[in-house]
Amino acid sequence: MNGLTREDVAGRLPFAVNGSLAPEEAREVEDWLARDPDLQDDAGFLTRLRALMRAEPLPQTGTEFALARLMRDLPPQQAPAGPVAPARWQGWQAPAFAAGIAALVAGLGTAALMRPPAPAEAPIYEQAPVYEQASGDAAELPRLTVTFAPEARLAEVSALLQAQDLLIVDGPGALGLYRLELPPGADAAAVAAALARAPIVASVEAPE
Amino acid sequence: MSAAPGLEALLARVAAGDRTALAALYRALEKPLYRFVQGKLNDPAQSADLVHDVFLEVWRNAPRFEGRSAAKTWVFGIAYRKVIDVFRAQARVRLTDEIPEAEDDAPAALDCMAAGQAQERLRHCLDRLKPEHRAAINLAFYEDMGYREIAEVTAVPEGTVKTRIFHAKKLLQHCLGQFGISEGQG
Repeated sequence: MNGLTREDVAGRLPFAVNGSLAPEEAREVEDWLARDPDLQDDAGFLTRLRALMRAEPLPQTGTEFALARLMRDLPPQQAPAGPVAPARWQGWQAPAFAAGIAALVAGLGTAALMRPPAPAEAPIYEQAPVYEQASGDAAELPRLTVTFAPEARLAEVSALLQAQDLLIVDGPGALGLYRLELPPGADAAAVAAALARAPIVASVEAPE
Repeated sequence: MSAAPGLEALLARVAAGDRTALAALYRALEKPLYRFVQGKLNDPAQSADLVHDVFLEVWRNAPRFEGRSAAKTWVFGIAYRKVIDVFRAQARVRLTDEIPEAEDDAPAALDCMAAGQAQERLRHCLDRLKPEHRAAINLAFYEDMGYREIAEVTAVPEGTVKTRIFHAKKLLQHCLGQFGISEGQG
């Protein structure tokens, strides 16, 4: 890049501010800024604007439960192109709900939204998983069965699951049981111990 | 550049059928994608469903990702196209810059001032942008994408990206200036 006009520089200012310009472009913009007070003012505003925007918190989306829904719905890869069944809205993903939920497990309404109600006579850990891995090896990964404390909040559960790289593959059942899939190669006993130490976990059952 | 480290590697694993990689990709991108989509649709339920559909498509089409763009750009491009499909289905906007930006009328501005928070003022001003302009500035400043990446996501020439952000900046400067934010008090 060589010989940027003032108009060129003005168009690149937002990208100088966010650091995405190539080094040579960035140097030319810097040269212009050093001698053009109006461009300096614009860059100053854009810097403040970016800082203000990035200070906004990310939306609360109930990531782990949305992820469980995604895993349940995964189609085979490279399937012939066709319409995707329209996903149904599930209220637990609304930010307002996520912000307002006081207890995760106590609100068993979530269960009805996550999946059809489990038959009362069948414990959730004896049922078929919510989804099967499209690539076919889901059943090989170890799973833990846990319950969360009634006061556990959605954000706390999400943080704990992400820290351990766990996936919800089933639940919550009528008793508040969740089945969590461990990542490949994980030490199930160690993960179970870590979960057991978490204040928001009421019980952990390691795989047999 | 803005690509988060490791997304390309995750996408390669997704292409090989690795659900754990898909989960990691989801955790990395779901919230930014939701914010991007919600910024255009302004419908939390529909936005959540759309993000869900984006990752279904990522899963299906990851084997076709050729690495000619950043993984994040590719995923956001899928989201953008789905948003456009929604707009087309709803006939909410034309796919040009024909819709005028909202006038920054005093009552609305005063309502926003009463709320008292800089973030709310920012939200008020962002909401007054044309969807195309808002998408461009969101990708530039929330996601730190470069103009080439934004052009790819939104399927427009690079010059159009710069023009959209220029117009967005002018309107935001005016709108935020009413609250004293554009002069540095924000």
